Amino acid sequence: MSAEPIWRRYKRWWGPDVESDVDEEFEFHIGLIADRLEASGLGREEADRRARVEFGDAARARRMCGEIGKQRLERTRRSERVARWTQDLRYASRALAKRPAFTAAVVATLALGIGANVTIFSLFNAVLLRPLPGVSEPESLVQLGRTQGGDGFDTFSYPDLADYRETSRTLAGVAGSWSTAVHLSTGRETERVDAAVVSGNYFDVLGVRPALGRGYLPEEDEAAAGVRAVVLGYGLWQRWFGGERSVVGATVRLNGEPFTVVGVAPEGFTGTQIHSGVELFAPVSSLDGLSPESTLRQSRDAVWLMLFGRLAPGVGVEEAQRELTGIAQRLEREYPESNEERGIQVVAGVGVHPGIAEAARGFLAILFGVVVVVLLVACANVANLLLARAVERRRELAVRAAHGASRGRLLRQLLMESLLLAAMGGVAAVALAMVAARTLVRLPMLSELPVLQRVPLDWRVLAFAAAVAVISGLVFGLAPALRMSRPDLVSSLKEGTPGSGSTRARARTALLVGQVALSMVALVAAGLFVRTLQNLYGVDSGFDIASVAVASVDVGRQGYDDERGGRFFDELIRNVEALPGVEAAGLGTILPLGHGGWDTRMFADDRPIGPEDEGIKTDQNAVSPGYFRAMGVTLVRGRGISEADRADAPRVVVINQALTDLLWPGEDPIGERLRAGREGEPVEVVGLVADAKYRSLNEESRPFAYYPFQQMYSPSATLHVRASGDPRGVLPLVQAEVRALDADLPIYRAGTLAHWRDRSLGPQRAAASLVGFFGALAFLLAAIGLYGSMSYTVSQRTREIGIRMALGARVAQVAGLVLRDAAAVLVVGIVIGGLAALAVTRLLQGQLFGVQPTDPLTFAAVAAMLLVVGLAASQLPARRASRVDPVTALRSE
Amino acid sequence: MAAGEIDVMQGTLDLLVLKALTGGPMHGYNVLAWLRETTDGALRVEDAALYPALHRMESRGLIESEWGLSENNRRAKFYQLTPRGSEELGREAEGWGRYVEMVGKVLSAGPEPTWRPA
Repeated sequence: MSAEPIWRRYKRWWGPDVESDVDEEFEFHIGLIADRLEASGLGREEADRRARVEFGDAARARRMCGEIGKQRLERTRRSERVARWTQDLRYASRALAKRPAFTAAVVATLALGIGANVTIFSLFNAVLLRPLPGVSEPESLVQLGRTQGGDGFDTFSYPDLADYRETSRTLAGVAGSWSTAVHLSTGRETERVDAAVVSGNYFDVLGVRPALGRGYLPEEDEAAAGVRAVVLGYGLWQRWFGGERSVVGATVRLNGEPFTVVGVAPEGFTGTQIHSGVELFAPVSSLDGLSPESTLRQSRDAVWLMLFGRLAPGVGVEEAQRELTGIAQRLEREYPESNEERGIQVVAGVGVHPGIAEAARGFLAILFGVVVVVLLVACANVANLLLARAVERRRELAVRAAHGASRGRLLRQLLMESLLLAAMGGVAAVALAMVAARTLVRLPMLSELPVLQRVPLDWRVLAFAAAVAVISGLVFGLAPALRMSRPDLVSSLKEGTPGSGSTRARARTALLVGQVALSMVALVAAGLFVRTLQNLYGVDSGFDIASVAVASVDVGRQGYDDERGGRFFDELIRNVEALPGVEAAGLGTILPLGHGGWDTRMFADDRPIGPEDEGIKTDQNAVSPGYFRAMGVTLVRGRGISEADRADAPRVVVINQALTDLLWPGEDPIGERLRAGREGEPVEVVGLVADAKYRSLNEESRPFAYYPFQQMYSPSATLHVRASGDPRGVLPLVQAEVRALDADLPIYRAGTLAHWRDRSLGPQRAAASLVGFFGALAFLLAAIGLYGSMSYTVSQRTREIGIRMALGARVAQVAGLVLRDAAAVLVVGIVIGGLAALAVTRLLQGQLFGVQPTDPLTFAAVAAMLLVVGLAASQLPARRASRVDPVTALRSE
Repeated sequence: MAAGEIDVMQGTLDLLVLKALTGGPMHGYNVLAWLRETTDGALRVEDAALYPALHRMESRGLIESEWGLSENNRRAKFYQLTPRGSEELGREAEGWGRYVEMVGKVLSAGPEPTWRPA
């Protein structure tokens, strides 16, 4: 049993009082000397005195012996403690191995409960905790955001970047980048790739070491124009160049201009934002060749660069914040026209914009809430199983107590079993979580985060799993262990008396009620998210989303001038309209429900514009004549955009109802004139269209203006094609038409409008599916718990049931007895859970659409479902109870 | 120091005690008594100094102890050799023998060292 030899245990009684033992030993020795001296004729007293002298330095010897004894005692205690733990562990594993079914059920339940938490944590870790891949010393990196009047976290102008970089002492470096898209071509083919236009010190400040070649040189930043150098992303290098090292020095074309490849970024590095998958890095000084907006580097008005910095050694965020605020104030004084109200905010860490981080934290908090419910329900199930087992083990534990095991020792052994179960559950949970995480990242929204392409199993995830496992082990193990280790020797040894069963039954009932209540909360939350999603899908977008396919092209990045571009789009539209299965086709520069919008301030031309007049913030789009028909936009008055609205024709606009209501409430706007901006040229309103949802399905009505595409040319545009059948069917035809006109022109955002609508609902869909899934999991576990508990009760009450049946109770009555118990648990749990849900769902208010957090329908539906499924789960044990044969039941005791 | 008495060095005392215990369990007084008798009283060791040596050896597992009754019916602590102690005794005794042999060889060599450094 013990690693300790038997003799050492007898030593224990010697152990605790080392000093008196030594004294006794010395006295015995001195006594013998005295005996000898007395025998040689000395008086007893004198003999005793001389004996002490002869014995020598007793104090010193006593000290030395005491020292040796104490060390020895400590050693013994330590090894005994180790021996006790290993013994407990061995005892626990043997106890678990003896009941494999029980052990498997507990481990599986815990694997689900802990696994759900580890899964969500591993996403949290990948998005918010893990440092940006590829950068060195991420802890000293900071993001810089422009504030306007104290608010926001936005982009900066290039001259501002230069000023912060030159003046700051608290930051060892300040760098910036701008995310854009470029058309990359090697001569064989052209592809549109996500790119970052970066300052010359970008790689240096991040501490990103190129996998091949070099990064940029700071002086390449300052070069007036024409640094034609490009660093390829690792993925692009693999995809396009097969990882060929000779790529350094090769020439590629970006938007038609030749660039020399100078380096390759390290694997995993895709820019400073985890949600962007940058594949190519070009220096700011190449901008004149990259885009027509070539004045970007001189203007303080143009704010386009995301900034980040590296803290100087020993400097904290607050110190940097103080210094940079000072610099911002100086810039405000020096350049009041551009920099008025402009401030700066310093935030630790790069990778996630603070606004996105906040949204992500809110989303993850909801998910954590639900998975914690799953874990609690799982723990309650396990506790219930342990309590049921307590009855079986009463005798075993009583015997062990009778053999002298203290209550503490029993408690420790029982807890050891729980911790062992938790540890096994934790290991299974990590394996489960890794599989689950791989499935989860394919969900809407999550699948678009490049950073989630690999969900790492790092030390943070493992530490979290271990912590959750230990805490769960204590949560589900402590109460049953305390109960089981309680010394009620006599009643337990008298086998056969059901004894102390009522408190145990009460504890089990309380656990069941708790599980039902927790499931209720989780399912109500899930129900509210599902209703939100339903409501969003039910919103009338004002567009005929289901029959439209879209595809975008950007001829500007392909080197077309405006005239050639105009001809290209004319021809494309004509050809696409002629395609079989196409009912209408139109161009637009903004994809609805896609990527935000573009707004200006509108003024009515028929009244004076006061100095305080802010105008109406209005979103706008430039569309070709077929657009309204293709998108199913309802024309209320006047006319739509027509072929006649050419660049040289009088300028016209079509506005929506919301803008009309704000500028000319109750009037007919046709023939009125609008100005875009104070100094804008007046434009005649020729049509009025019904409102639609432009940026997102849950927006309030938004003022909107449509201009003729020909009068407001854009080199990049989206083709909107209305199909008579499935819009997916016309997509390949449309793509073929684009290629027929320019085989090299990349097509992007090709898909159905419904797909882009679904994508815009990514967060809501993710919330509904994840909260729904975990809510259902929690309830499934609770139902299993209810089933198990009812089955157990029936098996315990076999005798009672037998007596009732012998006394003439009908089968239905006996089954009803069990169902009544289950119904009581369910009803009490639903009521408690309903009250708790009322308190909790208020926190979800901001995430809901078209449904109140207290939505009675959701509450009622969830309650009904819990009741029905719960009773169904108890049906089987009830039927078993009714099949009890009275004779066998009575004979069994 | 009386003439003819020899001080016992620390490590040597352990060896002597182990040897003393080969005869069976003994309490401290008897260990010393046996040693004195065997050396015809030439061995000089302070009685008190015996005990740290005994306790240290017990702690190292070379000997073990048990309380029992002495010849005169008093509670006394008896020490006994463990198997490990026996092994240790064998090893130490052999080492001691080699040491004595070496010292003897040197001392019985000729009157002058015949070897000189080159």
